Amino acid sequence: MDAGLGHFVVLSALLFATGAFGMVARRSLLGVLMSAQVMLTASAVALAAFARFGYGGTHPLSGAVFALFVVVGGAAEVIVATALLLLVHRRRDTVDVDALDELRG
Amino acid sequence: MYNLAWAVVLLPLGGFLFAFLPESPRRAAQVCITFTGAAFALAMVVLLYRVAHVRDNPYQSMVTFWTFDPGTKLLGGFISDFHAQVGVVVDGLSATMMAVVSLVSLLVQVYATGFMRRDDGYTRHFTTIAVATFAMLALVASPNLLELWIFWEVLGACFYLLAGHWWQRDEAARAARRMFLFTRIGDTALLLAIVFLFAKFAANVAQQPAAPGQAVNDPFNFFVLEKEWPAAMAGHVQGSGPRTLIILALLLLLAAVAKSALVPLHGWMRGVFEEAPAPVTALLATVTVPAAGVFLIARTYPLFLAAPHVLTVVALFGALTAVVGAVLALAQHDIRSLLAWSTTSQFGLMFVALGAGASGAAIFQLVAHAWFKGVLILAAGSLVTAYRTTDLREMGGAWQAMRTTSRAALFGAASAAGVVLLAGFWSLSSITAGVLRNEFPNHGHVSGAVQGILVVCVALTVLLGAIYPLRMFFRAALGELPKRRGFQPQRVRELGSRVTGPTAILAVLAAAGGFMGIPGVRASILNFVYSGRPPGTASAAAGLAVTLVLGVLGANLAWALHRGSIRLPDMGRAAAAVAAATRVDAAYDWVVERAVVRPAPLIGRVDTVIERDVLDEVGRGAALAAETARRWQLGRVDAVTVSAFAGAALVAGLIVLGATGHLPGVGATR
Repeated sequence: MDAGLGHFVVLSALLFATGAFGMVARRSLLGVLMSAQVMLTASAVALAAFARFGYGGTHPLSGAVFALFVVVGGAAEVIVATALLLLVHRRRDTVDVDALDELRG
Repeated sequence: MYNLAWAVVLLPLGGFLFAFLPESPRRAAQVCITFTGAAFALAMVVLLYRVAHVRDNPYQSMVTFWTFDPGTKLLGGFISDFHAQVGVVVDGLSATMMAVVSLVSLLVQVYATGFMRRDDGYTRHFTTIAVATFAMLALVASPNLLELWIFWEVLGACFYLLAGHWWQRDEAARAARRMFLFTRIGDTALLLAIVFLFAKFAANVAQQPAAPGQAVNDPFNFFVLEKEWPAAMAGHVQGSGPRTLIILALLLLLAAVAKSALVPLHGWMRGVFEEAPAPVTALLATVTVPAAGVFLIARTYPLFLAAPHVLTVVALFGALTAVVGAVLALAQHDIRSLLAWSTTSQFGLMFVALGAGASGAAIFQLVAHAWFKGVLILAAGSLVTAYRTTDLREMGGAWQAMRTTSRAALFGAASAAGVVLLAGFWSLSSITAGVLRNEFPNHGHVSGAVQGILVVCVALTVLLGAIYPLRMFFRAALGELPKRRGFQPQRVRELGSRVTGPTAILAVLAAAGGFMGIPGVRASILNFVYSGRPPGTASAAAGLAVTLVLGVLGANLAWALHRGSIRLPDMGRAAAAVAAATRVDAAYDWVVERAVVRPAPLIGRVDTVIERDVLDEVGRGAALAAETARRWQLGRVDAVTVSAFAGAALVAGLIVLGATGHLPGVGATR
């Protein structure tokens, strides 16, 4: 049985759900960051799949190009987020997101 | 060259704005003085250029700041294409007024740097004077009635602030309020006149071919109206006739009467003289508020010439005011009240001149009065400060103790009295000549009986007007030193050169400034400000002779009164009776007291109720809402994330439902 568009979309949805659950459930900042990367990957998979099966877009490569952009954006995000993480660690001596509640009303 | 008038008008406003840059009040005053001085210099350039080109048409330069273009002509052009304009006009009248206003303002400000020293409101004083100067310059340079009205109001507001400069004193605040409310009567009349004018003439003006360089005819433009008014009188303007012109002229006259403090609306003048600082009084009483009234009539003079019989009313108002003011001035011992009544009387004379067809003489008197009354008010300010009293009977010996001020006051008083060859002599004689001649520029005249009344009133005013200023001078300068307890003669001294300097300059003008109005000279101010026919030589000679005789007689009477060889009958009670009889303002006070002053606390009470029962409740509700909403901010990353996902899911769900046609009214395209 060949893998069709539906398989890829379901894969993407599962990946995204995993990432979303991880983002809410993990207490470590590092885990939250990794979950965000998983969600980005999920969207990249969906974009690539739609590009491959020719849905939407006026150019056959437009979905693939978007997937590339997502990857590049994700890399940039990792750099910034890691820097923040290091700073938080240096100042607070913790990476527990529950400890960071300055925005409580 | 004429476009310098823009700079003349705007420079004092610049002074006001730039005066806020420096921190020190002294520097702020210097900025105001510099800008006003520049305005005066340019005004002199404009005036001299205009004198050299007397035959030029009036120069106009306008900026349209609001346009109304309905596209189609509504109601037969009644409200089509109205362009509201501001601008400057340079003709003999405005060039003369700009020069005089800026000069007096400049001198008064220099005087104030000495007089107001160590005053708390020093900066406020100078900046407000700068705005008032700007307003008056813009008023006299206005090419249309709309702009004139705007600056008429600005002027009133400025002088409310200036007259109430020492607002901490109850009397000062009351005097300022009184002046403001009184002049409001005139403001209202002027506004009514503007509306009435627009209603009656806008349609006809819109049908005229536009002036060169103008997209649309301005129905308020004086030079457009100059042709409309006679046309209306001749029946060429539909819906307008003699009655329209009479109503319009009477409304403008009421505006001028309130602004110029003519009987019966003269009640505010004395309070301002008694409570305002001397520089403010000098600026107000010579070239601004009452002068604006005279200027209004001089500017709309074609209307008064066209409308039948209104000039008679103008002249009679003036004559009554002139005589009442002169009699009351004679009865005063308070130097400030004396000057207040004398100012009222002089402005009455200007209205007589206007009413007798001698508008040039009225403006000449306005200018000469600015010189000699300016000297007297500034000198009186110095005297009051030095003697620490306002009662003339407690002054004396200033001839030795205050040499510059008393010599300036001599020239001012002699000029006011019409002593030969001084400025006041020429201006008073031009009024006398105008009344004797009794001919309007359009060959009309007031009736013989009215002319008789005018001649008697003017003669009486000139005679009395020669007595009281000289009497004041004799008493203050030559009288014996007062002998009241606690009086320290060594404290009677000049306030310094910044005070005496401007007084002396005005005194020179009061003495020598009459050259501008010598009858028979072609460029004399009498022909310059209004291009009518010059007064004939016969009446001019008669005017000079009458004024000469009356002036000499008055001066002798004043000297005799001072020596005690004749005595004035005790006029205390008589003067009080005259003052009470002419005080319509008492009734006005009664109305204002009941209509404005007493209900005012009621407004406060309603205000309190609204604040307590409405605004406070709203405030409490808002606080509750904020407190509730605040609790939702957990500050937890997981909660924020979940709510973000929930929101995204909600939006996605709605999109899906909409796209599949399950959502009523949204997007079921298939």
